[in-house]
Amino acid sequence: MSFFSLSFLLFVATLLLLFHQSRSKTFRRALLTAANVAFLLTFATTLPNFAALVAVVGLGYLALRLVRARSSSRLAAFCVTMVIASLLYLKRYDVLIVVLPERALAHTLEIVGLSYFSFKLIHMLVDAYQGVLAPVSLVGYLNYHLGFVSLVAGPIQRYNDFHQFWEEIDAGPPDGRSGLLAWNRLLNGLVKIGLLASAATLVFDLSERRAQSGEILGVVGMFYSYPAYVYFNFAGYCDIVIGAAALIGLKHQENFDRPYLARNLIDFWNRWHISLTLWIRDYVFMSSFKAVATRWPRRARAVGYALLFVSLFLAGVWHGPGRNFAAFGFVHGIGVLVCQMYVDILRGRLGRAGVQRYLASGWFRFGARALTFNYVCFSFLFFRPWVDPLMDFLARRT
Amino acid sequence: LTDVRQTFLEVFREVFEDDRLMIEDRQSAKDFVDWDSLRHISLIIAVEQRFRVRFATAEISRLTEPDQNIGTFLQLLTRKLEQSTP
Repeated sequence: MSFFSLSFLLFVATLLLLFHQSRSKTFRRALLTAANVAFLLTFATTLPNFAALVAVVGLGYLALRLVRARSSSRLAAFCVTMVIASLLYLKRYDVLIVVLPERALAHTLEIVGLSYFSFKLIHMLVDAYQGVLAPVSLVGYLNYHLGFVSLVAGPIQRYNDFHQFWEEIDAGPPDGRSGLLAWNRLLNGLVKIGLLASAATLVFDLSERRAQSGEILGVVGMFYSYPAYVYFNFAGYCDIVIGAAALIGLKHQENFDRPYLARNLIDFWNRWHISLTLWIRDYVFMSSFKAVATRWPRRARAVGYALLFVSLFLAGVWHGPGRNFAAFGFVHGIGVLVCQMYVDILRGRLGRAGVQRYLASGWFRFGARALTFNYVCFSFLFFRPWVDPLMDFLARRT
Repeated sequence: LTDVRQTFLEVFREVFEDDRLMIEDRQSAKDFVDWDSLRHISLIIAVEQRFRVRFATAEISRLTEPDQNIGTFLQLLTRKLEQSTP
């Protein structure tokens, strides 16, 4: 079921009508479970896909129970490794050719929301091992992972936040103002996808035709319209799911904060797909940096730079198995690395007060924003394989 | 608690390489131009080593949220110390 459809609006409206009929926890949990299953079934195109989904989610639950019961670091590490391996296998990442015959990757399984499921499961496994995960029931686990408000493309909600909602599911309806704001948020999302993302697509298609006939304006149009499309489409989706979730009392984290106004690439990632950035920061960057810096404190800064690059590279690779996503991650990894080094040099030369003056300068802020925005647009050249017309154009000019 | 606070301040001064640094409970990372992700982890490691406590990934992450500040960091540390006291 598409989020930009009348059927989705009817689905949400029907769920809401029923949801607020009773404040019984059992009724609401059963209703939400039924709604999530119904929504999920609209994505389960074939029996093998559905069976693979059941297997992955079921094994994840068993792994979680084991890690919780044993509290062994080796077991937790093994389970996390298995989650990553199954993600790479099911998404058919080329890197597995090193250890698997090519025909092993020739399967046709497609599991909806697999990347998001894997990230959420890793977070649960780590938190369970460290003893900070809230209690998990099978029904709660299934609704957390397969809930319609984050199944397809996030945001990556943390389990303890979901658990709080699940425990307080009998809360009263949102007050009039909150309810209207939630609907407003949902409708904003529809406008972003239906109007703004569609307009950006139109500009992109027109620009592509012009670029193919050798016009530089076409290349410029493609360069800026695709990032506009990605933003409006994804931010619109997030508005819809955040609004829909709020209507049943589930609070989702914000996923965007005016990302194209970022003053550097580190700032950009604090504003773009925020739940992914925070997940990577917590479970990739901070965890590995802490482990390394504790053992080798003198090399901490250098290792920190390397891990910043690796983290952003992984953020790119996570989008899919294509090499274009690896290139996207590489461009962002290098960009963030250069930003961090530049900031450190500034601090060393200008001192705390000098950096504050530098950051307050309107001219520097404007220049930094323009540079960051154009660098991000450049990185989106690698986001999908539409780079060919641009290459053709450049080849003709040189 | 006074001893904990004083040692906590010493850790901050070491990590931020500033002997005259003063901290207040209501201050947070955004009040320090050099409190970035790398410094945040260095601070966590230094606090863990000085006080012989361990922070979980989720706890370290929680400390960076907008409603958190030095005061809530100190409260978390105090709770950890209380839990580790036999």
